[in-house]
Parts: sequence; C-alpha cells; structure tokens
Amino acid sequence: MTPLEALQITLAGEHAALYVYGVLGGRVSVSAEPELAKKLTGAYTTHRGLRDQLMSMIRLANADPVVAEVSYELPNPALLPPQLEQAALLLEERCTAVYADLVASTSGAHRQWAINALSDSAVRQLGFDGQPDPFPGVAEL
Amino acid sequence: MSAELDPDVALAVEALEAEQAVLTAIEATLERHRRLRKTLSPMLVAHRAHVSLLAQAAPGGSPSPATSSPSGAFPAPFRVRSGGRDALRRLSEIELGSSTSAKRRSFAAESGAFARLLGSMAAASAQHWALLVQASSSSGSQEGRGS
Repeated sequence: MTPLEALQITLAGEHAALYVYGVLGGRVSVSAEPELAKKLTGAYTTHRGLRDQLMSMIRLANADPVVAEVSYELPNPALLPPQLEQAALLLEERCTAVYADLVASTSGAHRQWAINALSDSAVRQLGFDGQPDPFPGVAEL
Repeated sequence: MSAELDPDVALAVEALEAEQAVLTAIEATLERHRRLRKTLSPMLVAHRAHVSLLAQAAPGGSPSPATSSPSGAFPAPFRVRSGGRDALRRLSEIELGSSTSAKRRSFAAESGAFARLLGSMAAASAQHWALLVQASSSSGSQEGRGS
C-alpha cells in the first residue's frame, strides 16, 4: 500500500468516525448523562480536527481527499447509554487499528502523525470503559 | 570481530532493554505494595508480552533484569517509593517515558510492520500512564493509599 492510499483509508475512517460520533452525541442526554455527553463531544471535536489534518496532508500530496459516504452503519443499536458508550468504544478501537496500519505504511511526518493518533486513540478508549490492551490497534497479537 | 547490527535489530535490542526495565519497576512496586495488584496486573501482563515478543527479534533473547540505564528508562537499581500513591506516581512517569521512547523508535524503524508494533507498544504505555495518573490522584482509592 502506498502512503497516499493509507492516508486516504485513514481519512475514510475519520469520515465514518465523525458520522457515528455525531449520531451518538445526538442521542445522549446531556442532563441525564453529562459525563458521557462530554466525552462524546470531545471525541467528535478531536476526530474533526484529525479529519481536517488528513485532508490537508492529502491535498499537499497533490491528491483529492476521499469524500464521506451519505451514512454509515452504527456499531450497535446505540439507544441506551451503555450501548452508546459501547458503540463509542468499538468505533475508537477501529480508529486505533487504522492508525496502526497508517504507521506501517508511512514514514517521516506522516508516520509521526499516525504514531501520535494511535496513542491518543488508545487512551481515548479508556474513557469509554475500554480496558488496557498490550497491543492496541494490532488485532493479531 | 564485531558485526554491525541491522538498524531494526538494534532498535529491538534497545526496546527490549527498556521494556525489561519497566517490567522490573512494576514487579518491584507490586512486591512492596501488594494492594496495587488490581491496578498493576494489566500492566504487568502487557510488558511481559512486549518483552516476550521483542526477545524473539533481539539477538541473545531476554536481557537480565535491568541493571543498566537503557535509553528512555531510569537509573538502576529501581527504588520503590514507600507510599502507595507516590509509587503509582513514579510508575506513571516511567510509563510516560516508556511511551515517548517507544514512539521515537517507531518513528525510526525501517520496517513498516516493526514500526506498527513499536507504535502499538507506545500506545499501551500511554494507556498505562493515563490509568496510573488517575489511580494516583484518586483520593478515595484504597489501592492508592495502601502499601
């Protein structure tokens, strides 16, 4: 996989993450679940920033960034607070894996970006009741 | 005759020494503060897995428990702080250093697959750092108080 292809795949993942976090944020009750609402909003803002950075990186490589799909499938029904939290965790786990793959396919500044995104995403998982993983983002280990 | 190591093998050797040093620190802390077992057990499991994997890539296998001061680690021998919360705080600093040095090695790796692995190890240490910061600052934590 070329570095550009890996960046495009990561961007596609960010489009999905933004959509899903947007839906989850819209379904959480700020008054009944303020902590969860705050974490979902924070994750949405973070991923929006990551998406924008990826789009800039791809444009700097003289390519057109992939566009978002109209909609994406949610990881679960995402109706009750525990489901919302679990959906966020599943989503973040997918993002962590995508960043890990980007580390493998890039070098220099792009790899540095991916390394930082990988660590930040792994830490974000803990906020959604994730457990520490010996090898975040590397499913085969 | 001295053979020059492949750059990634040299990184594996360095990473193995650093991981072994962190493992030694966690084991020593656990030995002194048994009430911290619940907090520290996942970290023990993770660093043992890291050491086991890196030992396969580094010539000579697993080093002896940290007697030196590998890059990104801390001066040996490791001294465990007497208070449980202080001991957790010290480990959080060690995990943060471990994450930073693993990131540096991931950046430097020539093999993409190895870079991915080292990046993942950095992420694991970042998770440990976050959990240890939380545990050491949690005023109601039995574990943080105990020794």
